[in-house]
Amino acid sequence: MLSLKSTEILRLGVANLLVHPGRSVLTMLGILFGVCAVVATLAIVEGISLKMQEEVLKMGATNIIVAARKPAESQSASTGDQGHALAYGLTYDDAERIQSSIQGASVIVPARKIPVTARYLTRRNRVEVFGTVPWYTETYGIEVTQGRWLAPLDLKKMDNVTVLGSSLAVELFPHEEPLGKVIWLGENAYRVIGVLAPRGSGSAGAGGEDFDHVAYIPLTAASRRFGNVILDRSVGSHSFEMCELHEITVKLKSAEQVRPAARIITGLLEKFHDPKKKDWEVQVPLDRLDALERTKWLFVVLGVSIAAISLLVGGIGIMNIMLASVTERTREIGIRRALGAKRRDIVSQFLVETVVLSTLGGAIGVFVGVLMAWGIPWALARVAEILKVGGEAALSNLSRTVVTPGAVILALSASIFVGIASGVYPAYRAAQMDPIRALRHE
Amino acid sequence: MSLARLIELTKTYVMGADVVVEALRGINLSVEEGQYLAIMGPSGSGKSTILNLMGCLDRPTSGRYILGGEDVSDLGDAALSEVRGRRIGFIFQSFNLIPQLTALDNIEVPLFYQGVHRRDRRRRSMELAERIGLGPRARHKPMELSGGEQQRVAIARALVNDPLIILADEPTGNLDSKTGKEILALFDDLSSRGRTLIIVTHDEAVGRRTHGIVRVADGNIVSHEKN
Ligand SMILES: Nc1ncnc2c1ncn2[C@@H]1O[C@H](COP(=O)(O)OP(=O)(O)O)[C@@H](O)[C@H]1O
Ligand SMILES: [Mg+2]
Repeated sequence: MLSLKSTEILRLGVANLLVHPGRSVLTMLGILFGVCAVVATLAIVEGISLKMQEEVLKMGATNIIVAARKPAESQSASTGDQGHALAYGLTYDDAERIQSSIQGASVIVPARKIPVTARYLTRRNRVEVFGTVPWYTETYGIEVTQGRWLAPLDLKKMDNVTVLGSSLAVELFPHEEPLGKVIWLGENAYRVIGVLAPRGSGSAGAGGEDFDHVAYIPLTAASRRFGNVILDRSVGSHSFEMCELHEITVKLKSAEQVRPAARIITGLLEKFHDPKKKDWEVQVPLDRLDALERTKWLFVVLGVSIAAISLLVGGIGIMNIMLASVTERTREIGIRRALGAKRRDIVSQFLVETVVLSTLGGAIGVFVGVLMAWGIPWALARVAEILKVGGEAALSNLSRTVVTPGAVILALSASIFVGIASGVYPAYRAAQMDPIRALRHE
Repeated sequence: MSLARLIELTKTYVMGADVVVEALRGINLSVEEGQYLAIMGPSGSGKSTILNLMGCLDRPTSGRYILGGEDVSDLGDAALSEVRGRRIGFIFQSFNLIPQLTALDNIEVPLFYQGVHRRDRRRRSMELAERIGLGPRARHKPMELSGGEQQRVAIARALVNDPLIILADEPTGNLDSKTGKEILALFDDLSSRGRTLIIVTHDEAVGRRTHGIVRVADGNIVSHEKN
């Protein structure tokens, strides 16, 4: 009738485990390592995924990026045939067509990129001139640290003004104040009106470009000064390229609108561009986010499977030791039964022991796993320091680890489950013993 | 009304396909409240089997067992455990204390399974340890106690739940004669306080201290002498 209070059973279980403390610690090691592995793995995966997500979001989750692409076969043709101008890419007509076909597209930003040499006094630097419009900032989170961003009037007047990316500003002006200085971009002089905050290298961005090594100028100025032909002298041999627009970004109001709009844009470009020479590309950052999510789950599944195997091994270990313990304590079981213990009292006694062991192992595993998750970026940073490897991609991907509550809950419930699963059979064996025979056991 | 009544009780062990051991062949016995009985007989005659049945550790093959007015012959495992915990006090030849528990903790085990509160358990076990003369040794583990002390702990444990009947299977069998006498003196004392006791023994001298001797041979009661 009266069943035992759980605190009593728990106290008894803990007391029994403390009879052989060394054995108890060894028994929970398997669970400890398994849980530690799952927590650390999930933290690393989560960290990488968050970092990549941020990079994708930098491109804008509600954006569609239409990029110009050099058609592959004509590229080889042009290098062999010097002086032949290669015409490709997006046109202002494309931009207009996109704008008029998609409702709710808040901004369409035409942009042009031209590789040039930037000069200030004796300092020279290969940079990209980025011809753009004032509302470019609405699409991308761009932060001005000094001066100002391009204004509509700059565009109208085709002014020779420029806003510098953060690293370019540092390279050209290591000691001076850049604002108001005049620099040369190719053949023309431009006045620096602003400097941007670092945007980071867009490894998730189009073609892994560097957003900080760029000089931004009004789009109109770019068209006039650089024309539609780019003469690139950087490769030794000369090559001409004709490209009206390198990139169009379509910003939509919500994520749901992104995919239908991408289909419309693809349809438009397919219709108006030569299908044999595909010189455009529609990039949907949102798709990358989904792909990222899938890759992340792949790693999560992998990590969890490895952890599951070690938990299984840990569970079998607990079960073996519990079975040995049940045999060893046969006499005790007989005594307890003779003194009034019911079968289910014996079951709970042994089950509590395995659950306490595995839960404790799990809790310590979580603790060690969190320490590892916290220690890995730190240790890698030290290693990078010693080996003098800069913050390279592989290392920087591990520069952050995130322990989610979900991972901790998963790890703890898995260890409790293992405790129950590994304890059921030994506990059942103990409870099924005949009291008289158990009492006679030597 | 008898405290315990065994009616045509039999116990048969089926060992294999055609090997059957008839340990008890129809036992009839009445135990009155306050009685102190000795069960005597040669080895293998069925004494322990009788005690196990009376202690509800086992169920009879046939016959009835009435304990405290209740027929317990057909109770299920959980109900039998309950009866053992509340109405029976066991004392064994080999003491059967739990090695990792202290004397006090051992005394409390039956109360533990009845859900008695820790504080009440401790009060009761201290009281009993005092009464059986364990003194400061009560906080020691069985390994650190002498045989006599261990059997005293077992007696205290048999008393802790205030049972209807105390069953002792050769309680002095593992003790030297001097210590055995001390334990028997404790039994006499319990009997004089009105406890109902059944003791299995080989010692005629022990038998003479009791109210009666039940002689068993080959699974049958052959005589029931009153002292
Ligand atoms: N679990 C058992 N299985 C088979 N035979 C048993 C079992 N328990 C007792 N017996 C047999 O029953 C008979 C009576 O045993 P027991 O009651 O222990 O005798 P005693 O206590 O008088 O020495 C013996 O022949 C013994 O071998
Ligand atoms: Mg016997």
